[in-house]
Amino acid sequence: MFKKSLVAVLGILVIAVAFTGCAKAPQALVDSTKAALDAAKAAEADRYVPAEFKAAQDSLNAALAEIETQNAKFALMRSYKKAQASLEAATAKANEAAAKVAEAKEAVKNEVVQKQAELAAAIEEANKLFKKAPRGKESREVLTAIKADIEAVVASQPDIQATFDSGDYLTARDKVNAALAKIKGVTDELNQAIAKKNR
Amino acid sequence: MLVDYSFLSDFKPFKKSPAQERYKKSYLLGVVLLLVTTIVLFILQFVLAPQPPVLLIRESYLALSAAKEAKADEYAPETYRQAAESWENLLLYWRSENKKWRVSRDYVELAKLALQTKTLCEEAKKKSQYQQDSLRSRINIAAALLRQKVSEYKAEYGNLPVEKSALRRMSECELLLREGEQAAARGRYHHALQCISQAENKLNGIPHEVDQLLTSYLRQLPTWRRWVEETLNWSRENDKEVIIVNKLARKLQVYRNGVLLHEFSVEFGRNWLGAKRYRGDGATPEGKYHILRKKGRKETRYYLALEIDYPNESDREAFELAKRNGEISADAHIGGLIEIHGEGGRGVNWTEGCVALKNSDMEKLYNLVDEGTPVTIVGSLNGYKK
Repeated sequence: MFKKSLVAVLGILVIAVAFTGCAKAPQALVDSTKAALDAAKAAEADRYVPAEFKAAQDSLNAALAEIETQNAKFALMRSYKKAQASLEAATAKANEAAAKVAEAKEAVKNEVVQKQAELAAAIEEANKLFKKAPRGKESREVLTAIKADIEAVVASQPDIQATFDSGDYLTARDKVNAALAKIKGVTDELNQAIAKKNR
Repeated sequence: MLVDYSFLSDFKPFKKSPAQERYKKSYLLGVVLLLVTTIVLFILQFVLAPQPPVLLIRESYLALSAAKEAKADEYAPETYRQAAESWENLLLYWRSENKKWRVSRDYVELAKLALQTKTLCEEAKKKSQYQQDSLRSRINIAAALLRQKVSEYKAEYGNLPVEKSALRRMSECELLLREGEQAAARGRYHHALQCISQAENKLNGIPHEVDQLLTSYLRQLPTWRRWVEETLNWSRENDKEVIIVNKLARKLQVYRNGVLLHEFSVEFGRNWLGAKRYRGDGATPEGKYHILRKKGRKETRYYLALEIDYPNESDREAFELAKRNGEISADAHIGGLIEIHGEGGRGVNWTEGCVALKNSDMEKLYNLVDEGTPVTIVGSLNGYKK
């Protein structure tokens, strides 16, 4: 009777060890999560979607800490489910960030393209207005300054295009916005001068 | 038939030997001891094994996250790098300790690493915020100063017929300023600062260009001073009025007997800096002239006018020389009809080469001088800004 009991206890222990003691740290998942984060960073996720990228990085750090928290426990009591969930979330967030980069880049790219077209139209408009501007003797100096403004904006176009072509859409957006603001200021000034003349 | 079972009364059951009994007892004792030891060791693991500083570690990676959110990787890169490295070291150390037997693990060093990581992260965050605040202020101040400088330049050099390139530089500077402000508004302070610095460089080149222009122009200062001296001497000798026009000072002065009587503000042609060379160049001539003719209200559309005898002999010689040297077109004409007239006071240099005064000033001047009065027009008498 005693022997049977002893065998039963040992048997249960062996089965328990077989089922629970074999819990292993999800190293493959850690590696794949790190790879997903590296890929997101390479796609400039930290520049275009910094919040999403940071969330993925935070999940990875939390998961790494959780893995070691589990590793610190008695082998039979380890559970990596929480760490696994964090890692899966980190991978998902990293992939989502990488996907959003493409979207965000495309959005900024389209914005720059649209504003470049607006800029070209605004320059054309400014040149037309410049021709109509009053040519009085006293306005000559003002017109020279306006012409210099238009020329500076025109000269900025190749720089905007070069920045755009290099893929730095954020800087290209700042440049095109600055040029647009400047040329709109010139257009307003010319419109006012023309209106004054027609009064 | 009856069976005899009486032999059973003689049957003795099987009995273990004393050695067997001892062996059984020892076996049981061994198993119990093993179980007890295992249980004791198991309990000891929980009682004696050190616990990792999980809360501190959690705080350290949350601090790392906060530092990243504060853009410490961009604005306090060195401290952030140290913090991130410290976090990696913490994980490595923790992993290596976790591989040891529970009781022999040492988490004191781990706690130190966690604390170090947390401290570094907090430092990186603070530094980043400070750096961003400082950059923001620097950009705002630099942009404001540059804007002020541009408007000062426009005011200071606005009356100078500066090269188009200088005007273009001012426009480009304003464009870069706008770009910098756009970048700063999006938190891209490094790029903003780069734009401001480029704008500064553009603007700093302008005084150099202007200085070059003026230095070359002011080489004639001794000649101009001589002309003025001769004119004033003539005034003293003849007790008569003379007119001195100083282009850089934008003043017309009337002297009698060498004594200053009146001073008026004047406006010139759009290309007033330099001598007149040909008709239509928008320049006001420099030289010693005389009033050729006084024009009343009905003789001029500029209120009142004093026509001078431009071109004089010296102007003709200079014109012919320039033509011969190919400096001006062979078809160019020397021009004429240079006057001191009214309808001025517009605040800009607008004439085709004449000297314009406000009508009230023109009236005073008109009444002070006669035909034949000497008019000496010079670039400057004291150099620029003196």
